[in-house]
Amino acid sequence: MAEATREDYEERSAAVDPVGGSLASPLSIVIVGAGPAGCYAAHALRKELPSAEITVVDRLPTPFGLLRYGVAADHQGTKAVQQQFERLFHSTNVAFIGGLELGRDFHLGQLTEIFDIVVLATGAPQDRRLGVEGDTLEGILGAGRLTRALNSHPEAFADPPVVSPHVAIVGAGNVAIDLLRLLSKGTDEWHGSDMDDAVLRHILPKPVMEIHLIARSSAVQARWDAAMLRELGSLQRPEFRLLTGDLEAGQSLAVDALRALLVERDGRTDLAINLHMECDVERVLGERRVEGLRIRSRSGETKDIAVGTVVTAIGFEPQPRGALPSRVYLTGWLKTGPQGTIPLQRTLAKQLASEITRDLRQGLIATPRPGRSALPSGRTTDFAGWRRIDRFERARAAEKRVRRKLTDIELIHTVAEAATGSHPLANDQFK
Amino acid sequence: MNIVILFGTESGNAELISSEIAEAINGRHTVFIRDMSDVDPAELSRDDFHLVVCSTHGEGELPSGAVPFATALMDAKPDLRGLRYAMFGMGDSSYDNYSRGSDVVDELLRAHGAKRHGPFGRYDASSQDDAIQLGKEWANEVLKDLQGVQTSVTGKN
Repeated sequence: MAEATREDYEERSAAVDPVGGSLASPLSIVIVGAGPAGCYAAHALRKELPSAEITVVDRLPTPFGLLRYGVAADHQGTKAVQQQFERLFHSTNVAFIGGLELGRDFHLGQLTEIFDIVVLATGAPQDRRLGVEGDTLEGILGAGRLTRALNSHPEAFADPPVVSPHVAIVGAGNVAIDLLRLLSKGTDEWHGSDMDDAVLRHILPKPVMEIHLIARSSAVQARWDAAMLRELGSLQRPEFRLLTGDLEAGQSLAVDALRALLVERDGRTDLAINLHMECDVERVLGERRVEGLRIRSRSGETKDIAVGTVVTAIGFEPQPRGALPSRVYLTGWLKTGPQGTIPLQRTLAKQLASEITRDLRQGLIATPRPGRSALPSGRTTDFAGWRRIDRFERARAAEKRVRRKLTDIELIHTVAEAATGSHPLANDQFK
Repeated sequence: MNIVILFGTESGNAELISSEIAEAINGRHTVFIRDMSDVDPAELSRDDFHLVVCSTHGEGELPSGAVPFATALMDAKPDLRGLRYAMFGMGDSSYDNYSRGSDVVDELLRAHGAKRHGPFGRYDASSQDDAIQLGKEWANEVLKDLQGVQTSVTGKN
């Protein structure tokens, strides 16, 4: 009954399908990548072309990409957009297929033979390197890799990074501040999050004692949000110190927030956070492993900092891309380069849907193609499988946590395939 | 009387709540959902009742989806006397200017003569509340009040 009701009003509210309905068989669309960019694209395309068959595939068995593995464990509010996408996958004509990878299970050419429209939304997962001497030493960690590990990503967990008690974070964007906060939290500061304590203990065998944040920009220019800095003020452990740069040069909400952080705690701290603004990293020190960083201030003064881990939060590598075949579209970071927020993906998706609709009106699509049913078979998951994973992960959440993610691809598949009502791992060590 | 749900959104959460409200009240009313970014306020009909769902962005700013609507109100200054609406705001009380986006739209609508009915609903992302549940309860309450108003008007005639 509820389904019929929903379809009923959506029919009336939706834009008139300009082309999909006029084809002999429904238009078929595949979106590669089930992160925010891909999911927003599916949502926008469904609104523009309600009768199209839309398939969102992902190389992982779980949907939602960076919402699940990029957004910090203690920012569940940001993950709330997931509800929109879950609603989307409930609707007719839209399907999720997990465990299919472009380049491994199929090639782009195959996709264009199977589907009328192909949208690539595979993002930009590669961390940008420092580009200085020593930037490949052991102990250098890309922010993306560390974020995935902290978020229990199955691949990151296969080879989990270990963070030293003395760590440098290079960068002054929101990603850097996310990591600064996550590394600074005490064991009782994770209420309401989906942080996995076992994962955290693995990454941080000893609590962090000292963090150096090294930023090229000044406090005013830095791309962090004031709200992100204000959030740091509620942390129990750290004492913040500004070692290089000053706050006199300008006024902004972020500078106000930073000023509020720089209060002395009379030695009651066991975690020092040292901010080095307007400093360049000159080289990474060490033979095989990271032993330190040499930084240079604007005045030309160099300083060596002893650290065992260097986290680089200086952005991601833009993905190379050649000329696109016809009927293939890009969205998300693959299209724009690796910057832009989650809400921006919604705007991009609306533009994409308009572009595709315009191309369809111009008669771009001649012959209907088989669509979803012709995708290669293999060990895949669907949305019902994701619902089982979701329920399973929520049910095994530790006290005051909302979820405990599965970290093993095989286990994820096992849970996804389990018949509703049964508990495949009820008695095992993972419960 | 038709119900028109107008949403002003940044990330789509206000759209989601609007869809869920529409689903909940559909059947009792004829419902349409519209993105504020596609709506000219001067074209809103006095025959409809409007449920406005608006989020807040950043430091108390309007969500990008509500900016063209607000700009049109400020620039074109349409006469909205006789236009009826109810307001549901979304925000995060851990920020200054909590739920300010909805307040700005509300102030603009009233400044141009529109009349707000029923309770001003709010969802706080820092709370443990369920946004969808709150939205549905708000819509029910607004529409219940509205029926009361209509009945009393009819009674006078």
